[in-house]
Amino acid sequence: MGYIQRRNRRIFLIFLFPVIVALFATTIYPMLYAGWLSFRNYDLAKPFIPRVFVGWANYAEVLSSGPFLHALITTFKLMAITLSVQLVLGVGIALLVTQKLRGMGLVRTLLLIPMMISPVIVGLVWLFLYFPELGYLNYFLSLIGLGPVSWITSTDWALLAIAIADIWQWTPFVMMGTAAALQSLSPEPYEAARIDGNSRWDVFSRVTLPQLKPVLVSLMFLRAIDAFKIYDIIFVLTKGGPADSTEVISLYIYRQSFTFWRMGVGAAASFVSLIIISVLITLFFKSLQRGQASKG
Amino acid sequence: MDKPSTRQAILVYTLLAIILIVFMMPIYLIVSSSVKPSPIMFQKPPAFIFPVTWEHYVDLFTMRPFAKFIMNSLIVALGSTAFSVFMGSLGAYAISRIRHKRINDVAFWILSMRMFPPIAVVVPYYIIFKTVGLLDTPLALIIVYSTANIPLTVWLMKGFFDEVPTALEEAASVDGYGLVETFWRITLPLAAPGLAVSAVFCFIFSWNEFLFALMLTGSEAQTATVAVMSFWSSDAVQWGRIMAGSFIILIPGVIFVLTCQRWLVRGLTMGSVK
Amino acid sequence: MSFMRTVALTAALAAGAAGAANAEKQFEGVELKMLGIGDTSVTRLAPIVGEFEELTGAKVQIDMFPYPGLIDKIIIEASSDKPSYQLLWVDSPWVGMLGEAGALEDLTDLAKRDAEEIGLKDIVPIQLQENTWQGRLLAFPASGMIWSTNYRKDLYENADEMANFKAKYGYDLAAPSTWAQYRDQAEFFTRKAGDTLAGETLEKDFYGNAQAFSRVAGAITHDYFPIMRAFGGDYWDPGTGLCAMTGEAHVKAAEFMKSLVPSNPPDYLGLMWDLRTGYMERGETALSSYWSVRTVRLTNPAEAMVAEKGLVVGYAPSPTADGAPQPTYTGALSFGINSKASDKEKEAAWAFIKWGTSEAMMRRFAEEGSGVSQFRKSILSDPDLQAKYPYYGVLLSAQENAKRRIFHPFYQDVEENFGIELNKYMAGETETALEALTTACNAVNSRLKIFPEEMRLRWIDDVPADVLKD
Repeated sequence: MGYIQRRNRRIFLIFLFPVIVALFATTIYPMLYAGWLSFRNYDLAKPFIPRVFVGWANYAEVLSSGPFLHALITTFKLMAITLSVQLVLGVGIALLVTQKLRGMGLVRTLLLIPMMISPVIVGLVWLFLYFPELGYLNYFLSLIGLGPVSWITSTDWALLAIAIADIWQWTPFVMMGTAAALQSLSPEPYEAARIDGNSRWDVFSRVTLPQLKPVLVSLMFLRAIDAFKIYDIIFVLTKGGPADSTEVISLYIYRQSFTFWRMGVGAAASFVSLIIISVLITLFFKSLQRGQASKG
Repeated sequence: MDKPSTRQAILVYTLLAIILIVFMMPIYLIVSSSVKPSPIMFQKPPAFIFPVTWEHYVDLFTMRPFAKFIMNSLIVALGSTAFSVFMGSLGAYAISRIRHKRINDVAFWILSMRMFPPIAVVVPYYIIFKTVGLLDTPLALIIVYSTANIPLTVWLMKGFFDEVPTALEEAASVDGYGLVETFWRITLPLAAPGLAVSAVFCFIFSWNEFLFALMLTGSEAQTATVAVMSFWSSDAVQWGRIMAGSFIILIPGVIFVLTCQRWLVRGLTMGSVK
Repeated sequence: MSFMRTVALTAALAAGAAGAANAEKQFEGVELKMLGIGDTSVTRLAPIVGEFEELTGAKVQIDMFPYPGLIDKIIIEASSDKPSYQLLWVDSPWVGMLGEAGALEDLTDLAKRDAEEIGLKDIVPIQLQENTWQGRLLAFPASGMIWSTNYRKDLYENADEMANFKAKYGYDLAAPSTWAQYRDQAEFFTRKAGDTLAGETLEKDFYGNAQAFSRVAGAITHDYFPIMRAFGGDYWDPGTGLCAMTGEAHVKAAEFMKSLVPSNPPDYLGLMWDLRTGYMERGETALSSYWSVRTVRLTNPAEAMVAEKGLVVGYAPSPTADGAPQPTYTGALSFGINSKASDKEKEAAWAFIKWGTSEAMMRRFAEEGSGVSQFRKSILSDPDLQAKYPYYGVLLSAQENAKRRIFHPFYQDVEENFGIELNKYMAGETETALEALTTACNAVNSRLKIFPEEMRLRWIDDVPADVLKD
């Protein structure tokens, strides 16, 4: 036990401590400031409004706000669509591009391009594609006798349209992470599995997938966090519209913090959303650990 | 994994061809719009054959110091990537190896840095950077992006470090390797694909970020993304210039990814030599 | 002796030259930065700021940022005690917010002092009024805007179309003077592919009208407000200073706007500024009202196909409710000075504004090509330029009777809330216009109610510009 404790301490000091210090130093002031704001009536654009302490009023307002709840639900809907599709599609494409065939490096690089484009610009590009009349997408659909679809101009389709743009941009993220993990897997279990005469699907589900799991979990974590914060694409594509069909949490926070300049409410909403995503991730964590324990 | 049969190869190529067509359509749009004359930009049906014009590219470089803005983007993205991958790997290794019941809390705290909605911290960052004279410098953006990139690297690398068998490290320590040496010589090379992936993701995030880049920079440190978006003015979205700019800023990114891929492959061969 | 004389002469000359240089280059060493945007009010000036440096010694740097997020950046900049930017680009509806926050330097005295030099009397008065807050001039116009109607004149003068229109609606086809006529004409010219338009068979659908119904950047409110005002609606209750946009006129205006939907492209809910004006620029709609900063594109073949296609565009003032003249809806894109800049910087910044908006500069822009929506009478009334830019006539005459657009410190709240609610109503998510308008008004009022009534009344008071008084 003594050895492990000593080793822990040394690893902590050499490896973890610098990271904690760096992160702490660069985030403590903004976080404290945001925390301070969240208890205040603070309008940056209107200095004549007294910037008084308001207690928990900002939090109470956020928690009882219909638009906030609506934004929360919309965010989760969007996350459910994008994350599941990105996971399946990303792993599927990763399996294809890690085949030992010519040209795979090129294919992989090409498929990464969507990620290289800033989300604000992705929004503009998809705006181009989506216009019912002016856009390319409906033109192509019309060639095969479909459509026209009111992609971003109907309340039924807009959220899906945002999801498609997000899936297009971030599937490569899952694909690349998975491909890297696939290539670093050790070959032995495969050989053993094949000798046992298992089908391809069996090999994938019993050998590959369990080995990929830690990386996939990490990737989905990161996607979940970023998807919860999705902002740029929507800001450009629909700004929350039509009506309020694509209103997400970040847009709510943006509108409160900047457009309405109610920075206290914006900060309070930020902390509320931080807590919500934290709780969800912890629950996810727990269920994962339980899953692992039951397997072991 | 060994080489697929011809039938399998045909299947793989066919599927990839379909995927590529779908995924490349918006890229085609960027490229074609960047050389399309403005008046026919939104013609219906879309014009596929048209007189090619280079005016959008010319405008991009004559109306803004665009080359400088690309350099700014590169400095910011490379700076933040290098710092974040370094720090993140250290943190990830510690979290992967330390056996302590509170280690998950630390990991969670690090991750929460990325969960916080960025909008709420724009103004405080503006205030600090103004006070210390870092406003409108690449360093300001490097710092802000690192607060998001370090957690990302920690989480990705932890997955990769978990996969490195501790038996190897124990063997190294028996051979007389110290803690740092073991990490540097044994563990890190085995997690090289993870490093490549983390670097790519950090780079991409820093390269693409818009909100902080808009608020914390002026003419000195403006990034290419903000410069491209600045062709969205009060009366028009200048699509041609935006698409030309989007295409140009793809190039350094793709080069970076290609470089990392080579690194990724080298990491793999190093791994299999073991 | 001669040596001494030479020395003395040289010294005297040197002193004189230095003195002259001092007088000429009075801002040597001053560096100015403008927090700007990439539109024509700035882009025409940005490449030639070197000329200003040559004249005055002051170095000017114009940073161009995207419109989305620009006001946020300006507010953050204005909240800082040590400015990074001495010059600020201002969209006129922001004047109230920036003015009440004390972010902009009062230019009234400077403008009065230099009235001759800047040709104060030459500037269309409403363009100065657009930039005032509580009667004080806080920014100076660099581009003027009016809301006007653009129509396909070639269609309106086609004999068949004229005859058919008269037969169907009972009056002559001409640029609409009332909104009812506007709708008739929008409806009349909406055709399906295969129908005939001006004697030719259409290959694709043709739309009578293109208006902005999009929420992005508040576009829908820009299109709603002129209609609302024409129907007799005001933003504010003159008795309480609260939002009053729930009256009969406001409801009628929203219902009217919705009645234009069938004549609009199927994209209508997503149409924002240039996507809408694009229809007119390609000649794909008969009629479209919008800001004159986009009208100026219609004569430029590099920007608009109508010119190239040989189609003729007509320009007319925005319609009114009953055809009787009503104040034109105006706006301005302007330059202001950061109130926290140093005195020297302020003087230099004012010199720059004078230089960049002078008659000579504006004439130069007009002669070099279209692009700037002009605001000087001398230029708008110039016969040569009027021939080159046929919309100059409307720009000038429409502003004789004009009323500025909304300028309230809570403008952003109005634009955002009404953008959401009107868009919901147009999308059919909200049943009635009254419901939509009430929701939006309540949201705005919830913020206004906490202020004393006298403060609210002061905010809605359009005090005549001090610089316009004699």
